[in-house]
Amino acid sequence: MVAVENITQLIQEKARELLSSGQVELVIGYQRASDGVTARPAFVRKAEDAGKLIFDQTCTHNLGKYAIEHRGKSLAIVAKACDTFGINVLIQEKQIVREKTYVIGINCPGVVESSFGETGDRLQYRCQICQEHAPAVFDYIVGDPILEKPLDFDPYAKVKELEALPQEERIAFWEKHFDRCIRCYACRNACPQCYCTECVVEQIDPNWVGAPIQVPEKQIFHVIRAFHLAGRCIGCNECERVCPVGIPLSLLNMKFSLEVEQQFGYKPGRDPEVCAPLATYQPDEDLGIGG
Amino acid sequence: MTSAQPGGNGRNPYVPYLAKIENTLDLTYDVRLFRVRLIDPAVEEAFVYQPGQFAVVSAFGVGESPFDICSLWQPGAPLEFAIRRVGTVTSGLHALEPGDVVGVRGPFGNWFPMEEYRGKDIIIIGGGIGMAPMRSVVNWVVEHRADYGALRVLNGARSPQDLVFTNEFDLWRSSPNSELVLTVDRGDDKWKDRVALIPAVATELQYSPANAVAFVCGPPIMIKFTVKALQGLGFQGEQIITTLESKMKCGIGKCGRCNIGQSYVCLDGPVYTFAQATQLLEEL
Amino acid sequence: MDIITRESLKRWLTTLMDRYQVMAPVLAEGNHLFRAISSTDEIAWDYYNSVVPPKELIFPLTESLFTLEYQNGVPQIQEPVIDRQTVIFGLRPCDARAIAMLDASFMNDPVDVPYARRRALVTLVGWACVRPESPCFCVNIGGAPNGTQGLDVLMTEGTDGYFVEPVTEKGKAVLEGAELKHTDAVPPEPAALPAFSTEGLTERLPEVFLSPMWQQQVEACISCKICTFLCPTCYCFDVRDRRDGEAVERMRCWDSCQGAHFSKIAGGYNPRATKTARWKQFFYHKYLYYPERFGGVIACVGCARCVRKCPVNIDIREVIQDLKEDISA
Repeated sequence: MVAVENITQLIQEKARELLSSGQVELVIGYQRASDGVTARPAFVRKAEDAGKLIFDQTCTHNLGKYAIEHRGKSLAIVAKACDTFGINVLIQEKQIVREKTYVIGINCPGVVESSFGETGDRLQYRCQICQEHAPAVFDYIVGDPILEKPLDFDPYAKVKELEALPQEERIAFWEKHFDRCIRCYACRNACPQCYCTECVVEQIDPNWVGAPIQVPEKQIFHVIRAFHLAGRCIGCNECERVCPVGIPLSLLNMKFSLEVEQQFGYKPGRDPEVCAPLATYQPDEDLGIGG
Repeated sequence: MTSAQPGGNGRNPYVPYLAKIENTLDLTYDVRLFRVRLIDPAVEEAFVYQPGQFAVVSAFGVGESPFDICSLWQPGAPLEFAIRRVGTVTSGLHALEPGDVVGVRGPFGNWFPMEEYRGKDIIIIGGGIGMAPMRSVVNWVVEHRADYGALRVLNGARSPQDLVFTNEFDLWRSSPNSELVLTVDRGDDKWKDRVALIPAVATELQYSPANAVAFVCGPPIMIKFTVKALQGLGFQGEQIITTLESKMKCGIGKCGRCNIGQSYVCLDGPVYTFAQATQLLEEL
Repeated sequence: MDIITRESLKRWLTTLMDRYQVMAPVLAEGNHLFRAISSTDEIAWDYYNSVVPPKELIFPLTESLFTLEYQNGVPQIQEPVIDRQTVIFGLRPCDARAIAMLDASFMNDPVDVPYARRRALVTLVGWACVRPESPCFCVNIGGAPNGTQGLDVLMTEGTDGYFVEPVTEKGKAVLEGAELKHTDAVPPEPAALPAFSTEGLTERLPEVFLSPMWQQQVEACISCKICTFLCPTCYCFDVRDRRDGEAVERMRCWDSCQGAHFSKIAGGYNPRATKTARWKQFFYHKYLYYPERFGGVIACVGCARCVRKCPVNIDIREVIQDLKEDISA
């Protein structure tokens, strides 16, 4: 793995500084997990506890959702490049206040595949295809800038492979995977962009989607979520990582990202001034419909 | 561990008894009294309930919810439920008409131990729709008048339009050695009685804890402050008795919904003394 | 003890499939799960434990309680027929112990009839864990990697085949026709697991209910339902109606106290509005409320699925450790 001890030290020092000066009351970062090898979210409120903060290539979590949870507090958040795209989306959508959110941005070398007690050297797929290792928003930046190397393969290859299949095969593919889904909602809850206090699929009145944990309901849940994320999903893939039964959710979300990129030339959260196409109304826009 | 006896030969407790709505009476703008008669006479005969117990009523296709049975059991009499239209199931029930079929499961839960309180002064304090379970206690005392001491009822609501059993006030007032005090949070130009919160009125009335028991039912915050007021007047935890509302589904202690602290409200409750309620770890 | 070779075991299972639905651990897209098999080739013989516990075979994720239809204006209720004899093959002792805990609750009066019907038709043939691994902690919570509690038959893999130990009459009956051979050899002892004690925890839990430790431990929680759904001793469920024209189907499906809206009542009041309050419910139900009702048995079997799969590493063993420190302080 890439040596990142320097980043850990810098984060700890910055956290100490921000907390002792009172500039923030909470630092949201990473600490070592109970298995001794992976990472988990950390919440530090006292300067003397800053020593537990770490950063290495097991720091996979997207901490943006905790910024929403602690909205209103002055806080600092450790964010990899992709996480900062998500933070920009949340700022645009007025879920967090930029002025109260101190972003410790990381020039991220990528995170590795890991599960409880196990880690290694293999980069997660989203990191293998990443071409943007620099944070899009930050108040303090750590880590050596990463030299972007062009990919020698199409990052959307798997999506296009699936797209090329006839409809019955695509349906069968997804039904096979959704059969295992247990509606634990880990995918939804791990996603910072899913912040509705009452999710539409859990609403009782109207009962848009029934409670049964069966393929039709599971299917519609995942499709609704993918639509709601269109143009907002930054591809952190936490949804797929947290799924206990290995549903390839990245294929679904990447399909939508591909569509948004092709139709609008848009990637979410890169430029805080540019708003999401699906959330923007321009009176003079040519929609290509009607007379 | 209790020994498990496999085999499902008993009646399925999730299958409701079928019942017909015999008639309804609008008690307020959002509370309706439903008189419901079990269709199978054998089921009706066996459905004997005590004051404080509840039944889970189904609006088929919409869902089911627990409701206190606010009538007193009598052979051949329909079950009465005072149902406030506040959510999905209650709206579903309000959309039904006399003659329509509903489901009834029960009677579930424990009950007010009225036998234990014989000879005592009975104080009954009900707020809003919380008066529904209190109604059966008032009517029990009225029916067994000689068995109890003074009957002092305090009934409050947000406004005069939210008082639920206005049609029974005269009956309660006419019972010997009884007092009925009404109060609202906000009055209107026709309202001549008190405009005050229930806990304040309880203190004002100086209820005596001597040989008395106080029943309290209403929104959680009303219960909290009324109990404080009663404690201020010297009432001990065992002298204050309440019935608690909780989200329930199965009604028989399986689904876990109503598990609060160590207790399952559908099994150990819904009737608790205040002393018991404070033993529960979680706040209700 | 008796022993059976892998080949004889497969033959026995194949004949069982004539009379029983046989559920066994299979590999489904990289995940070990219990599924009905039609051939012993499907069995994942080397599995450690399933992602979703076998409780789903007796207490399904979704099941129909009854349907109501109007016939000539008269409502008729029809209950589903549950009559399929089933063998669950290959479950671990922890999961069998957990099923016994579900039995105690569901069979308690009034009997949960749908559960009882399924349960009566199920025979549990388990495999001992010869190589248990941390974070599993069954030994610290009243269980054992080669425990027989809750099982009808226990099989332990040895060098020459599987040691077979019938535990109940049902177990003896299902083994009829299996080519068992007597052996003087004994089943191998399972490898040791790291030890920590949970003794005395239940008694002291009421005192620490308001400890600030809970909020710190649970801070990263995202309120998904993984811990409760993957837990073999969790059994909360929701009951909902589904309309199909004039007909109504009442169903029950898994639910979780970790969901934000689980305890919310009509009108909006929610007694467990915070994730700390909700996670405490998960813990307290297992370690205090269930033992109080059911003879002191802690409703946790140490399978550690919650530890392995929690997206943010809330580790119940850490919580227990912190509690013990809190209690002795």
